[in-house]
Amino acid sequence: MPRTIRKLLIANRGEIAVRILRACAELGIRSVAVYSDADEWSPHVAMADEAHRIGPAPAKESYLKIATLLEVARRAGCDALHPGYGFLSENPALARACAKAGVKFVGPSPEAIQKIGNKIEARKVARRAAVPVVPGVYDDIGETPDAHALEREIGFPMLIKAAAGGGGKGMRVVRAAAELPKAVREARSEAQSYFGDPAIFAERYLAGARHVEIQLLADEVGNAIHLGERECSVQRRHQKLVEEAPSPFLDEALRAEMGKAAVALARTVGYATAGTCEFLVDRNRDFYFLEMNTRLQVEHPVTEMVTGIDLVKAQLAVAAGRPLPIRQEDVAFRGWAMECRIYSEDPNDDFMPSAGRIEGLELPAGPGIRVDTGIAAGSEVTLFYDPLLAKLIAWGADRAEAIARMQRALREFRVVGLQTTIPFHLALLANPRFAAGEIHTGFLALETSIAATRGDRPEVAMLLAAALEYERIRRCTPQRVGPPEGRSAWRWGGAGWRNA
Amino acid sequence: MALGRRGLEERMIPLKYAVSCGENRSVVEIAEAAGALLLTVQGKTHTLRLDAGRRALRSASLDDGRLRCGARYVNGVWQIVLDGQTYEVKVADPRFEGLLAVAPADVAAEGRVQIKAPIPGLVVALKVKPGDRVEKDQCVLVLAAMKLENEIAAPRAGVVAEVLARENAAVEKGDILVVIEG
Repeated sequence: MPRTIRKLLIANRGEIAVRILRACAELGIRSVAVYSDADEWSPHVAMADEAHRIGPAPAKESYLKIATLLEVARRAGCDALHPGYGFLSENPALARACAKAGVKFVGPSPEAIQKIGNKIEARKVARRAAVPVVPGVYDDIGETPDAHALEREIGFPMLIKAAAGGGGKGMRVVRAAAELPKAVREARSEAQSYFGDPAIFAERYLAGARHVEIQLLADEVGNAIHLGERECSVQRRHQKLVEEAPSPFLDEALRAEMGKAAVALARTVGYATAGTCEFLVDRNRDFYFLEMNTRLQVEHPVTEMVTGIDLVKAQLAVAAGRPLPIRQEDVAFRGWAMECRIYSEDPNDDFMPSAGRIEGLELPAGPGIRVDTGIAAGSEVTLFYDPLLAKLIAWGADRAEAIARMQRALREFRVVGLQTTIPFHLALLANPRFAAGEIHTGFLALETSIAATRGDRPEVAMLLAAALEYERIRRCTPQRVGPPEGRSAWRWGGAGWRNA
Repeated sequence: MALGRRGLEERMIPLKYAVSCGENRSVVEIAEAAGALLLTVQGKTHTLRLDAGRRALRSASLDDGRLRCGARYVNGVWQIVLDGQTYEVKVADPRFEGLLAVAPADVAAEGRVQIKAPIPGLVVALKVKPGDRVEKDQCVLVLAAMKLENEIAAPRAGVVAEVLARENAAVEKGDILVVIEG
């Protein structure tokens, strides 16, 4: 039933909130942002038509509060709510609360989320739809699973995963029976705190496989299509770092077969919005269904770049009850797109999170470059939320051009004040195996030299630092010359100046 | 003080710096000539010019090349961003080096073990309180970082003397979380 969306509540923050705001601006929909105390001066707040405070910095007390979000929707007169990704995006309780309040949830129905968003249920649905799944135990294995029974059924190494999970949270690789109790304890605790559901299951860990996912688009009047694949095999700690479309490994026939399987799954559960089916593809080109993400993915821009379809606008059109604007046979792929996730993490220090103020920021631009970000110069990056600073997306006529543009843009990108994963991406793109497209989910663990990069121009940095120090001292007042910052005057005085 | 303000300032501008970046160390001599800086390292002189911006994002020329860099000074260390890489460079006036060496060091209390945060993160659960007896490898708190929950364990058995960490509080790398005695 067609309905009009005039005012949209964006129940998220950071780059994805900005991404959704931009779609609203283009469509003439009024945008309403929400923010915690840590985010009041963030770009997603500044760029919205309207913004409301929803609580203190911890997500549990702000972005995860369903009642508060719906109160804002009511007060602001919003007719729809977009959850973005993460936070409450795959929580059926939010979809239900929206339905009850008469606010259109931009996403699938609560029933569809329940059926397919839960990983255990999703695998059962896939089995019924004759879509292959990874061998595993698809029931909650509880707090004290029998290691020997699991070993007989699945074998080591195995993966423990949160049934309600996503994004690598609540997930552990277990290589021996002795590792199981700690892995189960940690995974259950993470699953409880992130998803409010401690249920976990176990499946075989397929080494050397690729992570390939199919983008789905379905409407409320029975149309369902796929927009091809994204290859997301470059991961560390089950977190995707680089995604691309198309996959260097898929051919036309396999793409069509996987697309068909994904569309069949969507139809089985009456899915009606954008979604993603994740698969593992092994060396024999056999594919196994992993899970379905009932939301927009972080890496959706690479699909937008090669198909020319704006996925957020498509979601809003479907939410308004309109049919899909495009048929399967009209979907055409053009060129190659790649995304690098720029995190505030230090690749030279085991990817430790890096918090602080963005003292200086220059974003790359130019042909084929897109940057989705939720930060600006002066932004404070805290440890309360996901450390994603920006998504750098490069498009080229072919993979080689996309890589060359990405390398050029990574060098243009300047972030001062935080450590970022930019050097990691530069090292990855220079790796001959990556350039040849020979990637799989264990790729980074094997290519250890990529993460160990230290930069090849320390001599230039040292000359610059000496010159900058000279400039600083020359302009300083005499009082500020002397003890380096961070050392107390008392201690300095005690070391000898008092007697001078 | 016998020295006037002006005299002191002139005396404080060093012409020679001890510079280090990781394993790399060198001494850089600086002179000014016609708006440029002449930097001499190991007998070789480079000509460097900096833009007048004096902000976090700088442009420079070095000999015949051009550079775009980021620069930030924090706690005596220059962070230089070049080609996406952040280099941490210590620049010291060699005349202060001796003073740094004699500054008193922090003395750790004896008979106590401080459990420090190995990574920055958020304390999501405290598992002990003062007075609790803990065994070696027992979990004392859970630290969420890098999207994972990490169990922080006691390095040896003892009695909890102090709990400095607070639930839902952010901690920096090296912050003391729990102190164990005995």
